[in-house]
Amino acid sequence: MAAEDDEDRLVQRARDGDQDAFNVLAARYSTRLRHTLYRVTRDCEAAADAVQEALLRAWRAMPRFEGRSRFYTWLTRIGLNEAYRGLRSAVEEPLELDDRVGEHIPTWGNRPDSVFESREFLAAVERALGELPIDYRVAVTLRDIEGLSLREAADVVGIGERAFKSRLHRGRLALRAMLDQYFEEGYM
Amino acid sequence: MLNPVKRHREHCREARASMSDFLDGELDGPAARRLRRHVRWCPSCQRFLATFQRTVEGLRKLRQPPDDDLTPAASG
Repeated sequence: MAAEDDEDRLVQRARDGDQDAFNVLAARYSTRLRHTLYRVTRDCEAAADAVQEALLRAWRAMPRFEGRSRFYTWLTRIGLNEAYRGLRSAVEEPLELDDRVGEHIPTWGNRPDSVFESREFLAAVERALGELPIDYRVAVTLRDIEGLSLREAADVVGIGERAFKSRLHRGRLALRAMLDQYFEEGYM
Repeated sequence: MLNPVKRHREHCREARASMSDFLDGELDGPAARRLRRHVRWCPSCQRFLATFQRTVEGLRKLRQPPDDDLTPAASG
């Protein structure tokens, strides 16, 4: 049976009140959702709490799920709302973006490929991600790390695709600027 | 009519604004060709695209679940 058919059946059964079917869907996606929410909250406990709350809310809302988006996309939207709720007290100011940052480092883009495969580089990306304003962090997490399509990611965030693209671009620009600074400080 | 310097800067702005779309395969043929052509002749944008691409590739490499060594507490 194709995975999509399988999921459609499970969703239909869960919508009809079959808790076992919902549990299968929950088991399938809860770890992935926890990872996504961790990247957004930077807090393992908060991410786990948001997943639990999201699953509860999703189960209650299941009869109203119309299937216009994939189940995971819908669940992620609920999870993000929960995560946002926890983060609201720590609202971050958007970064002032300056595209020129780091331009005086002429060899940045010419380093050997192996540098960009290194654990240190990935750790730097992960740290920079944690410093991004929340809206940008969500955008790059959904698109670049989670690999959602632009349309799905925009749907999860609840904005139009064009607005999402703009947010994603600004988030990537901000990350690039942060990594430039990191290299400038003498990394490697 | 824009002088050559202003025109070049305008092309740089346009190129940088479209780099995400370029990497996401969202640029249509003529726009992608225009970007490639500009980047070929503009060292600054060439460098910008290279670093921008590295940044996005770095994010994509985080696609596997975060492990303990990559969490901020462990690495910071």
